Amino acid sequence: MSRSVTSLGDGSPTARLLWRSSWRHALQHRWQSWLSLLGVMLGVMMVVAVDLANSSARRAFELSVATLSGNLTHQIVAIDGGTVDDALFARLRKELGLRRSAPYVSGEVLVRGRRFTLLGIDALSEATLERRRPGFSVVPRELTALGLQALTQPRGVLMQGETAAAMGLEPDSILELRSDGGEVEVVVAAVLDGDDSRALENLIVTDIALAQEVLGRRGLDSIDLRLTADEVARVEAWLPEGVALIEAGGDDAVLEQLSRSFQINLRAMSLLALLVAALLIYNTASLSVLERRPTLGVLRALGVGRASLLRLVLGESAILGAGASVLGVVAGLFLGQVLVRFVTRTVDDLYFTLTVTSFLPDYSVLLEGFALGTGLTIAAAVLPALQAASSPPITLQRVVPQEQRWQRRSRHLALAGLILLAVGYVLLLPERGSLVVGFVALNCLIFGFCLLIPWLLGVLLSAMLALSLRVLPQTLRLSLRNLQNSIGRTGLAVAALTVAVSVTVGVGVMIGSFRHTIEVWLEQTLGGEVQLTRIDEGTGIPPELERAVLELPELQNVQRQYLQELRTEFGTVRAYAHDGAVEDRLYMKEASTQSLHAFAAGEVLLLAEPFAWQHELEPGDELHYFTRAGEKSLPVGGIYFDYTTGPGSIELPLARFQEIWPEQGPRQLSFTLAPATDRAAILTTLRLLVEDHPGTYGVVSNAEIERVTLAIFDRTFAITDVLRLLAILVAFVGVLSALTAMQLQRMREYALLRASGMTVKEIARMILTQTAAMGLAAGLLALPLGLMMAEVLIDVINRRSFGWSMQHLVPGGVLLQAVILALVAALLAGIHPILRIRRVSPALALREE
Amino acid sequence: MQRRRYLQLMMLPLFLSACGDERDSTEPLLRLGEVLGGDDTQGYLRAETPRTFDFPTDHGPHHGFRNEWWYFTGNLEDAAGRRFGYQLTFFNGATRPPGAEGAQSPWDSERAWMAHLALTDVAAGEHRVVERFSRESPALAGANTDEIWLEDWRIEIGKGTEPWRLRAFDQDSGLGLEFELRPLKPPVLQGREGLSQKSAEPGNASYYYSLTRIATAGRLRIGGEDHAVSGLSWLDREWSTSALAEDQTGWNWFSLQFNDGQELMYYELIDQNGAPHPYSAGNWTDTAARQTYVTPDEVNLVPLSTWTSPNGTDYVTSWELGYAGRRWRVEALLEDQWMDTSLPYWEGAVIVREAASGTPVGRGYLEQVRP
Repeated sequence: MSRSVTSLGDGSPTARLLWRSSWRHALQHRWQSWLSLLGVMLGVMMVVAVDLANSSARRAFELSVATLSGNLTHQIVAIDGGTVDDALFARLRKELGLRRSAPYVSGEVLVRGRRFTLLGIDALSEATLERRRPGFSVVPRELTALGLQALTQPRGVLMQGETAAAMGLEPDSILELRSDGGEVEVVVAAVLDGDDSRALENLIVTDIALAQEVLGRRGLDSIDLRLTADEVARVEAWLPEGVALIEAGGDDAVLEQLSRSFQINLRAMSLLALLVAALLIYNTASLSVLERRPTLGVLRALGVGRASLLRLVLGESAILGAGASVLGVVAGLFLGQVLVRFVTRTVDDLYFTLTVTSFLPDYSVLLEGFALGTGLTIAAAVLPALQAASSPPITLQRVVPQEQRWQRRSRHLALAGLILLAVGYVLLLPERGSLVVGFVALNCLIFGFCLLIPWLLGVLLSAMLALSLRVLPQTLRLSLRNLQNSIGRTGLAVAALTVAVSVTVGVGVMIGSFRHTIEVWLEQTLGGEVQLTRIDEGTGIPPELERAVLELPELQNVQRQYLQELRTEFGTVRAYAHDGAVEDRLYMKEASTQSLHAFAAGEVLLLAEPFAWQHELEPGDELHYFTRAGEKSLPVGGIYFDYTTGPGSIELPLARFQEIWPEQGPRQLSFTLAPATDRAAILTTLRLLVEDHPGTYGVVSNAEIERVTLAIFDRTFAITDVLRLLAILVAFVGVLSALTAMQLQRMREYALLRASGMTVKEIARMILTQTAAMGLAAGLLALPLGLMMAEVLIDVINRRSFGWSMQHLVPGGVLLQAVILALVAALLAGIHPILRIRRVSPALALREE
Repeated sequence: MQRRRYLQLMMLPLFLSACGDERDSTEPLLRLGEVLGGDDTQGYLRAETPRTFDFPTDHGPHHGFRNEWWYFTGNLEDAAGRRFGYQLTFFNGATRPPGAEGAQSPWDSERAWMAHLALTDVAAGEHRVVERFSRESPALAGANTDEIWLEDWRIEIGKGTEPWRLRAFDQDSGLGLEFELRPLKPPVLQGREGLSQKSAEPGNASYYYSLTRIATAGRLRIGGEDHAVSGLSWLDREWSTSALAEDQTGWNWFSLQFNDGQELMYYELIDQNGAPHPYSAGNWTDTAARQTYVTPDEVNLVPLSTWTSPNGTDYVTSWELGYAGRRWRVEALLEDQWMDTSLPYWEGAVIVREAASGTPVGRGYLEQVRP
């Protein structure tokens, strides 16, 4: 080959000529250039936005690890999860004068081999913070006294009386605390006794200075605050780098774990966004080369070397990719801030303790987005560029052979797709496996399906042609056949649209199934109509309160639920027990009538599905647990559905529960209401009643729980709607650009048709037929792909991450919606070419011939 | 786990109140004897011999003693003649003798701080009090030669530059003040050259000086409302390790500023039986800041009327005071100027009248501490 032109970067006249040729092409095809730019930009934007929102939310999660705190409104914590500088507290009080604030330090210590939580407080600050939960009295005076005492007795610690007695300790006893800080000798300054001091049994309270010495560290876990709205703004404006103000708040959320699922689903969405973006970018880049084949052919014929041509095409892609990626990153940064609000709201709902008070992006995402966009654009151009460079000059000038080759290739691609599908399927075969493998498999399936699309499109078009034999006029059939011949160009656009629409289907079906499952589960497990729950960790509902409640004539059919933490061979679990028939209160997954009888007889226990899944336990296995009376075990009698708990939960027969914890009262009472009872009035009566009793209680109706739970659920998935729309938008641009390119190339053809007497209307009909066919094909193809996606999301991803199994529910509406969506997107994409045709005069178009 | 800890922390007050049941809630948190007396003097410096005072350095802290305080009081009025009284006091107490080892932590504090802010609005008949406590470290409270602070309350004094500044606002109670002060006379050394012997036992004494006349202007806030005010302040400075003997259970302290430019400070220590103690003492400062030591036998104090506080303690709100052939009536501007603080006492603005004619001749502050 000719070596006359070797380099593009040397500023030689030829190189400049080549660049100028590219530039002219871009200018002449301005519309397409913009679309290419837009396509890459949207792809990058979507990935960046979703990732940003995700990473920001994740950090907020980390920042507010289970904050839980009565009347506290906020906490200052370190952004990196480390400690807050000790000096910051003094600055807060000196510079802002905020006195409802207190430092907080905690850690684990060993005392004679027994593990305790060491709590370091500044009692003088606690006195002004007035930390409390509803129903708890606060005595700032006592805290002040304690604070002053702590300062004059710097080695003193407080312990619960029974614990101290059990360890042979009394006031003035010396004990050694062991932790990371080494061993430190302290003195029991006082023991705390009270009716209900069990909550403190594993706790040692001391002055913050001693706590830091014992734990061998500096800094605070948090600064705890009670702030007014004005003060929040002041603190936020004042906060130094490295720390964040987060909201603190109420209680455990019912569906706490849902948030993790939410995160995982968001991650899946982000990966899908990436896939759609990649397809789109490839589509854009390869189209750009495809269109310029005649020009490139001329250049080759003029003696431009292959290497130069390759460099030219790749260089262009690099410039396009980089420019579009920068725009995409900027747009993604803005969009991410919108999305994070959705995520934040969900976080709020699920934890209702914390808010991301600021946008905390992981800026490496921006870099990744840029690299991804640029890299993908270049990569997408490699194949077309190689083809362009390696073909003999003459072939380049013709478009048709390329298309013919595509048809051949579609079969090869289909074969590769089938192989990928098989790989994905095999990866999913084992019942257990890592989440990563699950995602890889999901992507194999999607990508494999994409590779099938050109071939499937061909088949579908053939089918349409066959079916329309009698229905469609010849001209329209012609346009379908045209389409069939240009699958090389349209196949990718259809694939992008298919994937985008299939996301709608997959996520829609997954959410629908999930919601349905939750509904069924709530119905099954919420006993009665009204619940009274003791929220704080006490000995349960006191007998006096229970008696008083039972005396209310409006309440009937009481059911008691008991709860305690139980240590098992697999760690601590929440052990529940109910009076009455267990099948009324649990939604059983696996249990025979026989095993339920055994349960009623106290011979077996039941496991929550996630716990059983995590530890690979099945009915018949033995679960070992530890009680004061030593190690015990019971066989597993069955497994029930559960979508709530963190550490895992089990159901004990009530008799066994009461053997282990004889003094433990019920944690929850639920009732049905007597006929004609005013629900609101009885709730109020109950709420007033509990105020006279020690402990913190929740009184709520089941209808309310169900309503709130489902409302939270719906809000949780609101963001997915936004993402679905975005995916469609990205695909729409892809279809638009592919169709535009295709139709513009046909301009001469159309001009010829017009010159030979066809009206604009007729041509418009042809174009719309083509786009409609593409849309319909994409919509139809999206259904199997979407259902497959839903299947994987439900059965693999959620199961592998949580051990949850869900009911499958395929809402017909979602499917119909998907097809309509694809059709509309494709039809809209036909509008521009039609407008062009109207404007271009046949003579003018023909002159180019 | 984190969650459990929070729950436990929140339950703490409950148990504290439970285990504190034997302590009556009206009983004072602090006891005078424990604060200003006591045997636990090992390792501390004592006020045993007269010392040389060095200003402005001595306006700053004196580490090594057990207690020290900065005690501002004053009578002020706004442009319309509406009268106000104020008190801003910073106390510190050592948590352990100097050099004794504490915890390895920036929160380890050699001193604990207490501050009182009290305002009297005579026209409204209001007397309001706020009390604050803090440990000293890390930088939460403290004193150096420039300033004394407890969180965002501060006294800027001691740089040798004027004006001095006081600043203390409390959001919750709507109280606050912000003043500029200019001493009109040099420091007056109380007792013998600043060594104020409180009982026969050596070391039961404090170092004590006063600034008896300080021009004051600024604004004060009471009930959330600001008033531009001006008038005169008085600063008492005292540091000691053990001041009171066991048989001394309280005192009456007068700081009177006469309209003719002279001042009288007099404290009467009270013994267990409520009788005046022979170690009571005072000081007369004339217009040229010349001082005359005042002994108890030169002073005649007669209670005229009393007021009983909510905790059942009687305080004298009108006195007849005789000294050097003159007789005055010292009358509280408001009967209830009771300091409902951890260590309750009565402290308030007074007016000084010629006993015979009833003509106002001065203003001042009166403090009464009872067992």
